[in-house]
Amino acid sequence: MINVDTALAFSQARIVPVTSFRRIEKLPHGAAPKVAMGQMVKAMEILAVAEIPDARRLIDVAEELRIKPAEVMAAILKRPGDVITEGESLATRSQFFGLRKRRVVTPFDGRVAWIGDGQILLEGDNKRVEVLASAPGRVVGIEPDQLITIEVHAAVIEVAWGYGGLAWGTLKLLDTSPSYTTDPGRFTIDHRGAIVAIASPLTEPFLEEAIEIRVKGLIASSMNAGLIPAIQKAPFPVGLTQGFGQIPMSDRILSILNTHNGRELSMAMGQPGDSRKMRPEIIIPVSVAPAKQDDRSLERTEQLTLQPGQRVRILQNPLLGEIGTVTEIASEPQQVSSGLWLPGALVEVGTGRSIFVPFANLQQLG
Amino acid sequence: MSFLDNLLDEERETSVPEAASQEAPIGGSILAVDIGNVHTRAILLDIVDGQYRFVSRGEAPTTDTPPWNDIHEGVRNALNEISLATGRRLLDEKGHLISPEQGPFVGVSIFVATASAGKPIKGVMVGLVPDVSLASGRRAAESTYLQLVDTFSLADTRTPEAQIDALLRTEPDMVMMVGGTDGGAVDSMRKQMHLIGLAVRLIPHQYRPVLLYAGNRDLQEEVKETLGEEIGMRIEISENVRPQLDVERLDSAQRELAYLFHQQKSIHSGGFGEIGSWTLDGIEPTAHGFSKMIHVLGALEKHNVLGIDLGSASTTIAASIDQIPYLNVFPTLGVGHSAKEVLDIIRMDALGRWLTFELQNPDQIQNYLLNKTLFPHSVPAERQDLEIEYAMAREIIRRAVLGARNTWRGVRTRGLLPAFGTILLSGGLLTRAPNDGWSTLIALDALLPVGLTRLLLDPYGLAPSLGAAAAINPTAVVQALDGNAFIDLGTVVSISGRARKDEVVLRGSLKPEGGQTESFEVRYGTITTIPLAKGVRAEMTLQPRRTTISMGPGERLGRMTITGGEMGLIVDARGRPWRFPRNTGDRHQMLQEWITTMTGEAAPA
Repeated sequence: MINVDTALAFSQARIVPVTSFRRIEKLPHGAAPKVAMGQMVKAMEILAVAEIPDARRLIDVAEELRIKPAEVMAAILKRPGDVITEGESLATRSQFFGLRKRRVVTPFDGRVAWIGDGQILLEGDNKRVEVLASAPGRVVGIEPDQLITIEVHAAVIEVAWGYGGLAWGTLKLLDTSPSYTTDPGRFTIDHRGAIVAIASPLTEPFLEEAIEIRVKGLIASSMNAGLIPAIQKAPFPVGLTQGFGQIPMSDRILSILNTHNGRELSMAMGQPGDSRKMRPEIIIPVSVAPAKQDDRSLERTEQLTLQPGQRVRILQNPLLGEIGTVTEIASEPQQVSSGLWLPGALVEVGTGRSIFVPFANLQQLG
Repeated sequence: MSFLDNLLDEERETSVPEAASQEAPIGGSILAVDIGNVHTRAILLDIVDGQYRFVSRGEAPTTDTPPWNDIHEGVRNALNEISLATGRRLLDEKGHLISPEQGPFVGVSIFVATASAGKPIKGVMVGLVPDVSLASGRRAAESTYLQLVDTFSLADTRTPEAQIDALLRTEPDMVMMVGGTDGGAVDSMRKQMHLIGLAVRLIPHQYRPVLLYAGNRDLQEEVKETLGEEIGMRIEISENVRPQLDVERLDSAQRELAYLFHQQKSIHSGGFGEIGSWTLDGIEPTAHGFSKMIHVLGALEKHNVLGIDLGSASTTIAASIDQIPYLNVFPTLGVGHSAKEVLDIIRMDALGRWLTFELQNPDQIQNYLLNKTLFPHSVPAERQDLEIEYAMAREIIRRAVLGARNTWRGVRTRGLLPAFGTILLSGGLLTRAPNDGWSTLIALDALLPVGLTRLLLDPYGLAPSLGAAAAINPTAVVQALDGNAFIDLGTVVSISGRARKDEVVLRGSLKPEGGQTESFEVRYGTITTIPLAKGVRAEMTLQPRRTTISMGPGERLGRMTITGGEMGLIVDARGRPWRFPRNTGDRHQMLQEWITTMTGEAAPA
């Protein structure tokens, strides 16, 4: 018998019809919070703002004024930290008994960062960076310059891959059953400004139609990797529920989307990265807190064992992204089609079919 | 006589590597943990009947990713496995390690830890001349999980503003400054120091990178004063990596980099501080432990040893050549977390040439590797996916070894690999194949070794932990190696030269100790295994049938003594190097023949 302590989950994900959880929004350097503890915020509301310098200029004042570096300090009109506006004088030098003045002026709005060695370093052309709430909720944590935490009551689908940042809009689900094929000719003007979801693989013609009709976001089951460059140019976020390939949407995810069809949701897709970052999520707010708090809301840190009855997501072909239920922990390692012998569990997927899946290919769902 | 018997015999007459023998060994039980990107592994060594033995091991998924974000949980689970197996209590009720040992089944005497988990440290290199100090700096940086994101030299054509912008944009954890010979001119170094100072002043104090200074010794105090006291950077000093133009000294900088790795991880990654506090010297990079193990093997075997650790996020190449250790870490070449980066570095046709099937979809390889990046701990469940992973493994190893060769002194950077008496294979993908034949084939395809080579497999990922433990108690490690830590795959005879396919190029005979002599023929273009039980020594005679056939430069065919392993004797007569047939069908057939020979697996239906 395999000791259940060895049946540890390698990864966990959130795919739940309703839960309470804490969403952490990371802040850039120098971001000033614009919300207070306990405050209720709407989706896309500004949580914090940072003014980040986008340009630097190192000016050799000694050379510009044709003086020795040692004489520069006397010519400089500013101090480190001073705010400057474009065209303002930074340093001057009188020549010919005051008849002629040489000046060094600021090239942009900003501040004096440093003065020394006959040089002056400026930074400015500030870029405003706003951190938005990815879902409505209550502010429960503010760590200035670090993060803001919001408590959210919502249905959550942690998708396999996402790109394009944040969007908030009304869900328009085009399919009622999972499919391998995608018909691009289903868009109407009703889809403009909506978040459109399909239960089949995303194709280039469908993406082009979505851009044309100006949707706010796109959710699909999967797509081929070759479509990534087009996604990167799309003006809205895209999320894949299953992963890369030609894979239809899992019934479970489709069912959650179907339940909330026509309601507002958030796509918090972030930028593509590896699994060591936060995974992208679809968040569908619900008006009331669930009767029982989901474990994930408690910021749990212990590693849970896989046990019969638990919901899991399969992470490898041929059932990549499929959601099932563990029915039994296999007592011995078994051989899979690749030839590998691995410890694993029997998982029930679809209509009562149970298959052996290695532990390494299971993601525990919360 | 087994491989380990050889080691132990040799050990009586040879000294352990210098690094491992600087301090007197500390006795008692040793617990070693390695925290990888996918697995956390723990091993317990203890004295049994007067000798150190490999007592137990534990393994659990690493927990440095969401929702845990703390390695402690994975370590606890791995240690629990050992406790369950041995009855020894290792952690107290608060989850802290019990050390020193408090009785026969409570606690341990020594704890060592290595880690490769998490993202690599992000660094920039500042120096003078690209081909001199910066090249040495890069070689030092390759010894740990450091991703160099930019380099600043006197040859930089960017304006000072552009260089400052670049340094700020990269948001480095560390700046490594090299350049100048000891006692040489300092003006150019001051200029570079000024550049760093300007850029770092613009970074808020709490985000300022650490500076590792490994340049002209005469500037050390000025660096501390200017960049440390005036600007507020944390300064670490190592010996100059290039004290003279023709002298390179990397050890000191490598040690400092290992220390900084631990420091950075303790600050930014949950659990590192606590686990590090259980150790004597902090958590060491896994690659350092692995390199020490290779160096121990090199010293004991008295021949060149190559180690390949193919990880999920990174690949480590460690070598002991003429008893000189070399270590190269490739932080973005890996078969899991870094699979996406592999797509940016390795051409698709280079991966596709290793497959025995037609792609069902032009994006099949990319789709698979992107999914692998999303779920790096997953394992291939289907044969085609297995082949894609093994194609990736071969190309990563080829590329990493090519990169490492640039740092091996006296070795040509291109062409055939120098002869290695032993090659150790580590990393889950290599060591947990469906059978030993796959592991052997991947290694031979990727490395194309020459001469006579012993192939060892590290199935439990013990090499880094044993290497780290060797620094404290080398005797314990040498004795523990007797406990079947590594699997001996067997001896490989690699044939170089050209001939017609299927032409008989060698005739040989094999006489195992106490057994009958058996003759065999070797045909060009084939790979063959000849049964020879594990640990059994045999006299082998090889006679070439063509003058163009050899075992590689400087390697003579003739009579030799070899030892059997899991795969027996392997004769690789595919030539060095060999070419893929242009015709796709022929290529598929050729690859399948090799797979069938080595693994016994027929072509999939």
